[in-house]
Amino acid sequence: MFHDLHSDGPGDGHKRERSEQSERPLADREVPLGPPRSSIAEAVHAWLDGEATESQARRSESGRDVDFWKRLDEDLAVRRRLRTPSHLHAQIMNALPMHAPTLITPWWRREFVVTPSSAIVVATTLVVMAAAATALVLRLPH
Amino acid sequence: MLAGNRDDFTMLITRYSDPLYRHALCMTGSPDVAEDILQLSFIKAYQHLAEVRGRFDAWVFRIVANGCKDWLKNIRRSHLSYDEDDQPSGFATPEEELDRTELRSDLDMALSSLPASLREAFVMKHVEGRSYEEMADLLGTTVGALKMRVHRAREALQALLEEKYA
Repeated sequence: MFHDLHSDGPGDGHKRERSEQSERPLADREVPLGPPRSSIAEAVHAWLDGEATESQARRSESGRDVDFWKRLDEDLAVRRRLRTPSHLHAQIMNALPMHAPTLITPWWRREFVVTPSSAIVVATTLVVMAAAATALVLRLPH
Repeated sequence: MLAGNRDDFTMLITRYSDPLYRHALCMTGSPDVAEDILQLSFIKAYQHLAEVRGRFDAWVFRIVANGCKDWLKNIRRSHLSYDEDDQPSGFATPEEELDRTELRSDLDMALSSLPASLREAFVMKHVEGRSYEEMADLLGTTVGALKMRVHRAREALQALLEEKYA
């Protein structure tokens, strides 16, 4: 029945089926039954999507569909209230490893934070290195 | 939180488990399988917490949804009903309770006959109450495609059930 549900196009199977039925000439004594009732009115879809009111959905002979979906919603409402079984939280916590594996990030991708003390240390180091290099150059024999 | 603190992770489980459980239960139709999928998904989430980019709930939803789809691919079940002993009952009489059980069973059967993508879209819309935009965000597809899936799921469910319930 639902083989056409797997097709990509919207309702390809139904359309093809219907067009074949309408084009086929009726045999003698065959009574035309009219198009198969297979689709829900757009107004009903809009109501189910919260885009239209119930009275709008009930127009154009869709009252039966509205009643059907209201009936179905009784069960869907029960499903909406379902809660996780109380034992499951503890079960999940017991199954967790004691420590989550940490992601090892290479030093060049780690966040670099400049604090006042680290800035002073870096600046002092640079000054000392520059002074040492200058002294070395000055002492070299010309 | 991302450092893997177990107490903080308990808060995440408490906050997000209900909608995820509903999704897994409606997709698989089996409370045992839903519990297994939820447990494995949260363990996987905990082990990969450091890799989370963006919203945690969307990320863990995708883990659960993929777990359900994998299960559906591997198992073709006929019908499994779930027990609601812990759930509050809003029906007054035994007749109403019987009607409800029958409707639930028939809807379970009808849902299980839908392709996974249609079932997923229907459950997200009608059980989880998500908007099409939220669904598109979670599933990485378009609003139009999801509307089409939900509409087709409704058509299929109505075709299966309307004779008895319309």
